[in-house]
Amino acid sequence: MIEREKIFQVILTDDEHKLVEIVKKLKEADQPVLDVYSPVPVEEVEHILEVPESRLPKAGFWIGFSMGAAALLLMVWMMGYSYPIVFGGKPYIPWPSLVPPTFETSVLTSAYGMGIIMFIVSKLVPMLKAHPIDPRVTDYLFAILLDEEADEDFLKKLAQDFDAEYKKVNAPEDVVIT
Amino acid sequence: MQGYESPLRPVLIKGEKTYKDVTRDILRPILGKPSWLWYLGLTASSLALLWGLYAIGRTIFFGIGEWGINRTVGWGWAIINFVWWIGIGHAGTLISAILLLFRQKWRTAVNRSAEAMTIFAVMCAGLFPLLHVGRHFVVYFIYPYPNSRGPLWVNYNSPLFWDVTAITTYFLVSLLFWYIGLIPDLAIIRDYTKSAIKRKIYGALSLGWLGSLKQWQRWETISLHLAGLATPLVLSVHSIVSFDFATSVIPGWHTTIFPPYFVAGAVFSGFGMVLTLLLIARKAMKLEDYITVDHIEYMNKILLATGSIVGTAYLTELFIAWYSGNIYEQYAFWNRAFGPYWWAYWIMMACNVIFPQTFWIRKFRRNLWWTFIVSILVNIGMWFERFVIVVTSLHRDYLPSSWSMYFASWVEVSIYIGTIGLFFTLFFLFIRFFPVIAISEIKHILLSEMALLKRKKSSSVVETEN
Repeated sequence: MIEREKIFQVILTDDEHKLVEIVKKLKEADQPVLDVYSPVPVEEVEHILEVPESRLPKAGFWIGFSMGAAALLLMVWMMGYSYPIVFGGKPYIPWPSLVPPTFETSVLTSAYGMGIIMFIVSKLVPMLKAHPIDPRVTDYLFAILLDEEADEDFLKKLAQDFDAEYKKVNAPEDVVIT
Repeated sequence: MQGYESPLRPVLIKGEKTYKDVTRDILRPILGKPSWLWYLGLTASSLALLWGLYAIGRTIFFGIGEWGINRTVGWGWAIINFVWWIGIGHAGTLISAILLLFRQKWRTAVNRSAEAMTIFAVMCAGLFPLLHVGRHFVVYFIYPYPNSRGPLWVNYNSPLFWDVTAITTYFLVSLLFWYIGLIPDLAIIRDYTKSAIKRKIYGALSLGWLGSLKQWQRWETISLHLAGLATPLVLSVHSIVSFDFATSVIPGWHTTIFPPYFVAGAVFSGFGMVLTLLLIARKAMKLEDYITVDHIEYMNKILLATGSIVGTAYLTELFIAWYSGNIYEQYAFWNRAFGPYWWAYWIMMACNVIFPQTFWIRKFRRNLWWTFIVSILVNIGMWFERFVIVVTSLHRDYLPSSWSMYFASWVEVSIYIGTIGLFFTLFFLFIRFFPVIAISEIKHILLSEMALLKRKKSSSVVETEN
């Protein structure tokens, strides 16, 4: 697969507080921030950039609920209709006995449902070649990714004000994860 | 994730650290050469594993007649070891899930290794029922699937089937939780290492992680929600294990306090094992700055709490046996304490009830040697607890003509040694190739810890000036 690359502008800092301030200034100046890379999650940046909340929990709930319901119905059908057997005088459909397997099915499918969805939407694929904007980002640097069209002079000035690093990088066109 | 910070709380990281320091300190054992002690440990545990594999081979080839079990004591070391290993696994999920929900920051230093321990322990546990079924090649019969026998389905009334679903779910969810937590750390190694081969391997394992805004947001969301799911799960697993016994009519097993008593016992033994392993790992891998004496003390407090619950449960059982007026129940407990297996009962009592009570005293909680000894005693005690429950209840039940004694054969003992070998082999490989402390999570609490350190320093300056 040929990966098409394009030029991006990046501001790098090693201070979480500075990152928050820079992102605030960029937001005020209407410079669209494409993405932020960090060694730790920074919730404040999410709020400033108004990143919508993840819908993973909703997906997890509905997957768990529907798979649990399906498991329950299947067990009722198996014990009550498909092959009814008397186990020690218990009713054909023993509701209390069906609680543990239903619960376990819900938990298992909900967890893996959320996991698989996260892997797909966050582009986490086995053997995928990663394109870190800077190899130091996973270690200690915070990087702000901006489009080539963003105001270069403003960004350079901003980087200088906060004692941050400014650079241009080549990265795949679809590097931004939404 | 910010909550109220107690000004009295000790700083969880020793010394002034930066993000860079955290990466360097925790990756040092992975990127450097292992010591001779690591090779020695790995060789010893691999040999134990091989010996266990030989015993497993004999069991599969000749059948479970190789074991010491008989018609009266049909459940022997296999179920004892199964419950023991499952119990050990409980600390990992407790630390990573329940303590996450309670916003306990100290968990960050110990959660990774405890989670790994959970996975390895559940693998060891799963082996025993698998071997005990006798017909290993049709073991998939335990899962319901459309078959040519009717189709005849599994018995959903049976706690043994619930156990299958619980253990399967527990193992798979713990694995997912552990791996998702590892992804950012694997990406750090990918970007940090100078070796091209390591970069390739860790690159493949880190799934192309970049640490972008959306990736972190989803990572945090899923971590929290998996913790929410794992919390009732971990409570359900040992409750269901206890149902294996409690739903029967054997005196000493037919008890309503079993679920909470088993869960507390599981957490108790799990923390015992975490302490044993971490005390060695922190010393051998020089991680004293991250796994501090305060961490050990917190874990000892949990050990004390769960140990006291277990002790109360033992006494409650005795009281209820007397109070119920049920002579079979009364005999079962008299037989435990003064029958032919009296030694097992008193080892259990001493290890689980008496020694952990020393942790009421702060000096003992903070003494690493004493903690190490007690952590091992706890696991010996918890093994004997399962021995007492299984063997003393079975060997003398309602019909004296069928009473019998049970002694494990060398094959059973070897399989047990083999699982200890498997556990430690996996653990040694884990500490060599994966970060034993969750780097990203330590970095996440680093700023607040350093701020706390600064505040403490400035207040101590003020105090000395005054």
